[in-house]
Amino acid sequence: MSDRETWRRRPTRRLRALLERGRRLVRRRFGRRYRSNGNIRLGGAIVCLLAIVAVVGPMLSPYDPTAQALERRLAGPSLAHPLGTDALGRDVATRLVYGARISLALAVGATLVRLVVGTAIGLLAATGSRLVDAALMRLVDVQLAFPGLVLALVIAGTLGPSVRNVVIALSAVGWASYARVVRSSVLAVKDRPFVESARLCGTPRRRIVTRHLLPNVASPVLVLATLNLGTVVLAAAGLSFLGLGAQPPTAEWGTMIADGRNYLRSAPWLITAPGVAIAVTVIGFNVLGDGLRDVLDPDHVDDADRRRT
Amino acid sequence: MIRALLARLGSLAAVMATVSFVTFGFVSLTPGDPAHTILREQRQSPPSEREVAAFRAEHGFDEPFVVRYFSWLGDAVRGDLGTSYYQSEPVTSLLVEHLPNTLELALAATAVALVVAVPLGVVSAVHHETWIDRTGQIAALVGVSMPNFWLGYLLILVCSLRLGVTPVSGAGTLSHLVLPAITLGTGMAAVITRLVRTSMLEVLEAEYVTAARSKGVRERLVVYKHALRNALVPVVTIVGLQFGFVLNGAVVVEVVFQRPGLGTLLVDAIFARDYPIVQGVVLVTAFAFVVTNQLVDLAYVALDPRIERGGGGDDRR
Amino acid sequence: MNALLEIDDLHVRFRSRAGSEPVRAVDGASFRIEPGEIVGLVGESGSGKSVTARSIVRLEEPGEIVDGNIRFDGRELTTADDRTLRRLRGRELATVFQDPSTSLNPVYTVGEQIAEALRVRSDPDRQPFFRELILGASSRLRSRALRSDVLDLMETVGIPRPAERIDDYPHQFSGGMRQRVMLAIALARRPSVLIADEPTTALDTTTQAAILERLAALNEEREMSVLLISHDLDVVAELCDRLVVMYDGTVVERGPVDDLRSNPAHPYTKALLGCLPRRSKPGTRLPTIDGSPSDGSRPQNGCAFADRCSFAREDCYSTAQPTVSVGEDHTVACGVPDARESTLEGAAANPNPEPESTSEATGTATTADTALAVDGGADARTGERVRRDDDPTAGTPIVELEAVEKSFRGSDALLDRLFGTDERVPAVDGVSLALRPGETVGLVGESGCGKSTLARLIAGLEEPTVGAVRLRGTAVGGVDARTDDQRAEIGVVFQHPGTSLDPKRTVGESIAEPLIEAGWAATRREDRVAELLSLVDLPLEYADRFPRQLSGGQRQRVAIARALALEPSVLVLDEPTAALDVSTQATILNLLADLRDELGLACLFVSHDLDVVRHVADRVAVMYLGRLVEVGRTERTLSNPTHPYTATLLASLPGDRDDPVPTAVADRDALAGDPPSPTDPPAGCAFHPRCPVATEECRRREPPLESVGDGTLGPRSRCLYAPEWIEAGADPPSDVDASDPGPDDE
Repeated sequence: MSDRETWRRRPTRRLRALLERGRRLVRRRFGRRYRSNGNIRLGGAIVCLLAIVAVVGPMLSPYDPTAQALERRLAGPSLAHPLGTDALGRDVATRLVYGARISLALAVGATLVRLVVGTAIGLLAATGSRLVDAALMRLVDVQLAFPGLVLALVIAGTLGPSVRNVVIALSAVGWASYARVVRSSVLAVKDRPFVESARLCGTPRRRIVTRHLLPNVASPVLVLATLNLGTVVLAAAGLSFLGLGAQPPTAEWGTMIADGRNYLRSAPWLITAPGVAIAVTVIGFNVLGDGLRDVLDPDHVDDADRRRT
Repeated sequence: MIRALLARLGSLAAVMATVSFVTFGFVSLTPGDPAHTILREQRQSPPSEREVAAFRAEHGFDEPFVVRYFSWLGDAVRGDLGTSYYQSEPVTSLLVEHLPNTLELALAATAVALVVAVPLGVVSAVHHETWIDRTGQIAALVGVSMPNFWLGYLLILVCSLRLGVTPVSGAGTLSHLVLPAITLGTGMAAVITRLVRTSMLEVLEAEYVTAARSKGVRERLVVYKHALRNALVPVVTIVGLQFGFVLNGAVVVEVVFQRPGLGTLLVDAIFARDYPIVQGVVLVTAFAFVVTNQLVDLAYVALDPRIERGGGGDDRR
Repeated sequence: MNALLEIDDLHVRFRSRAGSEPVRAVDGASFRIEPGEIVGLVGESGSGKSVTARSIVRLEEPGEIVDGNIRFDGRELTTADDRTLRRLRGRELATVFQDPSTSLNPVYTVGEQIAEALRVRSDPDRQPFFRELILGASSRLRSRALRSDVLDLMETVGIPRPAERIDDYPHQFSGGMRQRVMLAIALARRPSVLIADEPTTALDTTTQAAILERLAALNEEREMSVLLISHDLDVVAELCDRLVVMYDGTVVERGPVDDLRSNPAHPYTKALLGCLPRRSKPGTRLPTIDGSPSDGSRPQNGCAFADRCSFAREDCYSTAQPTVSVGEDHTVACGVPDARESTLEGAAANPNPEPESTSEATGTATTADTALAVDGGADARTGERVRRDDDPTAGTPIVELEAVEKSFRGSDALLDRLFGTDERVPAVDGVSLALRPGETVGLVGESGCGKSTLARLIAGLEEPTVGAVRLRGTAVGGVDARTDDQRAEIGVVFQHPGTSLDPKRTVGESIAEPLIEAGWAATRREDRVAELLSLVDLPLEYADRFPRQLSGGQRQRVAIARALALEPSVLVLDEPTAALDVSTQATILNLLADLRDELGLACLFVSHDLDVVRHVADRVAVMYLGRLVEVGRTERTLSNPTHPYTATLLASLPGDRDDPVPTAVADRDALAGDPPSPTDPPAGCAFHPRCPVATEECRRREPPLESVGDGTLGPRSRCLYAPEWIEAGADPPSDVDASDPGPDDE
């Protein structure tokens, strides 16, 4: 009540104070440490570049990624086709750019599902009763009992090959590691005095979760997710390579390698280009993830300066 | 100790039971009538009602799901995983036929990975932030980031097509094994290198390493006797988990090198909707994975005397 | 005479992150050690004492010796090659590190680790690689000759039944026993100098006393020099011949122990001695040191201590201080005669201390008076506090424990729970205790005795298995079951300032949390946060800082502010100063005393440190193995204990004082034996296995906690022979006992 009154009375002052405070917080939390980390800069640059290519690239390319042009099939790299053409005469560079869209969208989609499901399950396990914990962790064990790609293969295979089903299949197998990371991080902070202090002043459980636990597990989850984006790109490419992902004539990197393998000797660029594209994407995510880990890992924050004694 | 072992076996059985249920459920609950789909794909034309009915009866599709699951599970426990829809061969004998090739590949790849990764990780950590370390780091980064099927083709391109030193595909001899093992081992080696390095860096900072140095122990022994054994404890877990990674990779690598193995068997079966084979392969790989991880836990006890009790993870109070 | 070990103008630097100045960890340290001598190296955290010690054996990594010399027996060590260093480490210079839980390799048996030292000693140059690896892999020490040598060493350092323990792993030993193993490893080299870096800091006082005694004996027997490093002047004083005091990388004073302790010359030495609770009269304010602890980034020239020194002159900041001789072999790095000659009290900070924060603190700590309206009933800022124990109005207890028991599950395995085979481990066993308004009760005991659990029971973080916790007469459950008012009554401060604040939230957000939950409006909240910050002497800007930007002492102030947010009447303090340096401890203890008096708080002060408890508590309760063994008024209990366990604790305190233990408590090794396992407590009196005066009767009969001496009004003790202890002690003033409110504790 009085809260609202004050707000009305001095709106600008409070707003300005709030903004200033926010700015300070942002600067303090995402300040030099991030910008000065070489890994974050390199990985971030690669990922940003890829994102730009995926969004803008298709508009710039003069070719259709799927239209066949048999008269210029298997042409080597040239000015018109910097990365050559494939067996159906399609421009490899154009297909690569379209492929970036699928790969990135797929990676982000599957990772998001994994993250949300895994975090929810991990939180529930760590904060719920022992029974809930035991049951959920059994579930995690079961998921981890399957070699991920094998299970994804079966799911994608039974649901029928398509990009959507690849997302479903890869979401169904990757969430368990998030659940484990979240659970163990929550357990690590759950009995810290600051959480007990919150309990002591009567903070309800849900608010303890959102106010103290989630912010403190955000770092490992963020790092895991970044590294995971790379893994998903690899797995999705693998599924497509096996014929269980994107279907021809869709331009997808894994499919492109599968198509190109028959011309290994005569047109090696057909597998080189998409292979390099996949590797660079995954390197980008990995480097960014490593950088985030360096910066976010609380053990490394003050240590270097406070080594003495 | 015995109680801990019992507890462990109990949870193992529970996990495997659920795994089998999931395996069976996934395949059985596919959209559409499997009999119809399979028959149509088999003969490239819509099957007659009678054919469908006959197929359903033959493979027990008319029973309710739960009944089918338990009869399948009962058979599976006795080693009978059903019969392939197409090859009319028992799934078990197909598995027995294909398993050795995959096992061979997995072991060879693990060996390649360990031989490369552990020394590389140790050397990187000991020469922290020198060119050796940086080169190793970059190599490891590229290693984890390369799709293994692509690496496989690159190796084929160079070693088989250009140099002609190894056969392109097939299985049986040692020369057939070299390229697939390298292909599969690279990713694993990269992961293990990174892990050994981080773990070693952490351990080298430990007070007991300083204490060992203060005793006058030679630096080489400080590294290999005092630090490495401690650093290997977390590595062993990951190697166990990496075995799952190897099984994943084996699928793809077997397709690339056209090696007959569980992977090629599985992929072919998925496309053919030969569900008994799919179920069999998934069950066997999951079982192998779970058992490996239990073995890893035992290795843990040997490496780290602090872990004596078997099961109860005491991280929750 | 030629010194055995000589450190001359040593400079060690740490390269910090790119861009910033390197940290000068050691900045011109010089001292020497003669053969057979024990030298104490004293300083607070950040003083560079550990780095100095490590530099001697050339383990200064990741630091870097940039200047100065280290000479051992005439040989220069700063330029020595690896082979020479290995020989010296293996045969001459042995080191014992601070934390025995991390300095033994967890994967090798202790026998192997001691044997390794023996093998290295016998031939430092030839250490066959594969033989060593194979020997390490074996879980049993095989060589018979080595085995008997190892057993001898284990015997020497006082490990009971060495033959049974030689093939055990470090984690199977207690902290004290592990430190003995470290000592055995050091002795295996028959060194001429033993460098012990805070060897007892991680241990209980009883264990500490035993280890120190062992060190002294070894020094005598083997004519081995010892460099003993400690943050606690009194700990080293007992043993040492000479002392070296370091501050911020430099040696500020050195001299013979008695002269230095009776006539300290450097203002820092004086302040350091002054701020020890055991040196002040109980209840008085402790002298403190101004300003913040050093961080190694001070200017190039001038005295490191200048900005905290009340005698600092202009040139102290700019020119290097001369080394002045103030006695035989006693020198001090201070050029100000007034400072050198001042008294202990004079050197300490003024009676109204500023917070141990930076200079920006000064301007803002002025909004204090708003929250201090509560009548404290005592002269807060100066003089001696009015002790609460004879205050007749302090009648009804605020908090009462009624025969409280708390046990934990011993195992977490599902099977155990299914079969009901899980053992319950008792942590608190039948404790009754009362806390009255304005009273401070000190709860003492060794680690693992259940004192923290007791504090948590009062706070509501645990619920008793049996018995009840009463708050103003009403039985209360766990914290979730308490009403808002009940929760507001009790504030809690935890031990580790590092973990008691949420690292992701600002100081202001942390302090405001209780207010938010109590439904305070935003503006009122902000005012209250400001009020609380000034109450704990922190500037208002700190509201926007994160915990990692604060020092340990500042974090603890924030934790106290937060505990006081809702104006509680009870403060539960669980080892609030255990993780802090002595000078910071002094400021926090003063702050707590002020707040307690100004706000009329009742306090439960949990501590392992009897000196701190003696300083702050009106009454003291001694806990052993989950039970109270003695309860009584502080002066009385800590001067005339009525239980041998209390006497033991007192006897193991460092520093020169009259031994309060009437009987010969000579065998400290027995006392330092590990407390029995709580799952399997001994029959009869729980203390009898470690008790120096136990009789047959003690083994059979477990005594109750009973009043001794003057009928129902005296102290209470759980010893069969308590009356005899009373008689043995100095005349108990019975008239004071009459007002002891002991009985209603039962």
